[in-house]
Amino acid sequence: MTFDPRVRLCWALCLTVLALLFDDLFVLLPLLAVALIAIGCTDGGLWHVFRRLRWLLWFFVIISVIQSVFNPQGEVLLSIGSLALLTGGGISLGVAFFCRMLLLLCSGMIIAAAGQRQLVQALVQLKLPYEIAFMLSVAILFLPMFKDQITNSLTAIQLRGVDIKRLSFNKRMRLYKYLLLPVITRIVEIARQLAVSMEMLAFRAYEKRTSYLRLTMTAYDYLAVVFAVMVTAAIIAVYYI
Amino acid sequence: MSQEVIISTRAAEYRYKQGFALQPITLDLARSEICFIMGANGSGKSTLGRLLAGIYKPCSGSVTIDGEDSRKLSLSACGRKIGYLWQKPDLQLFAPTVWEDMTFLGEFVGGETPKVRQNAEYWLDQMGLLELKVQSVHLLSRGEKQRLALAGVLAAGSRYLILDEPTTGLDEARRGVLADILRLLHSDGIGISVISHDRELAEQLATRRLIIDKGGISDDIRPPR
Repeated sequence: MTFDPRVRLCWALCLTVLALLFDDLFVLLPLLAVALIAIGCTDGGLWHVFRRLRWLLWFFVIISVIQSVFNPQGEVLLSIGSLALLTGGGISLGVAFFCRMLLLLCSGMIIAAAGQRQLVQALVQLKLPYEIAFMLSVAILFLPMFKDQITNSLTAIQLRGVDIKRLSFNKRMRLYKYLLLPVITRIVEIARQLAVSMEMLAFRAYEKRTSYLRLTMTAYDYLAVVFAVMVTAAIIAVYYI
Repeated sequence: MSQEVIISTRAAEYRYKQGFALQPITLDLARSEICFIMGANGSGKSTLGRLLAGIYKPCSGSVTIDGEDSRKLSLSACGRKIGYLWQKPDLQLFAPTVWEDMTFLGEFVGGETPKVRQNAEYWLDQMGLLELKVQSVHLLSRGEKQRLALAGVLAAGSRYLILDEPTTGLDEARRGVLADILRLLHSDGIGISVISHDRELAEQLATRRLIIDKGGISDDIRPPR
């Protein structure tokens, strides 16, 4: 099922607001389930979602463990002498943090699945200036490009005989200094080429732009927006009023 | 010239997540050859090149580099055996000047400084870049950047080279320089594979031509010389 990008923006906004307002697992876990199901139904399956998230999942798991280790609340589950290493409260805070981060990621994925051109048009039809909408979409586009550049540079430097895994922390940092500069230079060069191409295509030649693409909300889209807003408002009302 | 096989594949297959797949490929590449890997855009030439270099690991079957399974070799170990020259040489240049680019890795690969310097000087000289050693990398022409990247790859100790589209963006004179360098390296006992559309260069250099079509080898030609 496909939804208008404005519906996706609305969902992402609701999810982000709820993820930032609540740290209660009884709210976050059902929300996460709903977000994952929504992504699964609209963007090609849950397995696809997990595969895209797997790198970040590890990062979040580590952060969650750190939260648990340093939080003294609740029942002590693991300790060395008088030092509590793992507590019930710590684990629950860690899981809550994990869920919040996943929800924010899900929001990003919901927006990203809209496609760059559709997203720009949605923002423009929401009365955001075209230049800012375009800049936002280009910024989203640059993230995977930055990742590719870093990956390629890392591969190239290893192919020159450097075993990064065996380097000490200090040496590794010095090596990354060599990697970062050319990557940033290349990204700036790509950005410059993009700017020139945009000028060549008469970007901002006139104050107003027309667009071949027009987005139209269907009844399902309106329903999805109303549903998301009402659920968000209801959750906030129940907890805060 | 040594007939020693450096890279050997047995029903090696590679699949991208997006769907394109390299069909099972069985192949032996020897140091005595200059092998041109040719084919249409999107046929899988570069994928095969990266599989042969150990950058990509086979999804099934095997790729053996210098007698060792590429799956068990780290990228750095592959790089010490097989030099891979990317299509865009900028990707392989890291330091601000030519000399620094050739020597900065010494501290990371644990080599002795005099040895690293000697090696750097030797390969810069071979590539005709010794006079440019204080030059900023960003001021080099495409051909010079490519030769510098090649020098860097060879300084890692590779005995076999894989070059991905090395003549892209080079004029005729610079293509000639590249051809001369490849001949020189080959006569020094370095095996070479070139991924290319350049028929003229292949006519000049190739002792073997692999034609790639739809992810498989459609023809394996050894032109009489």
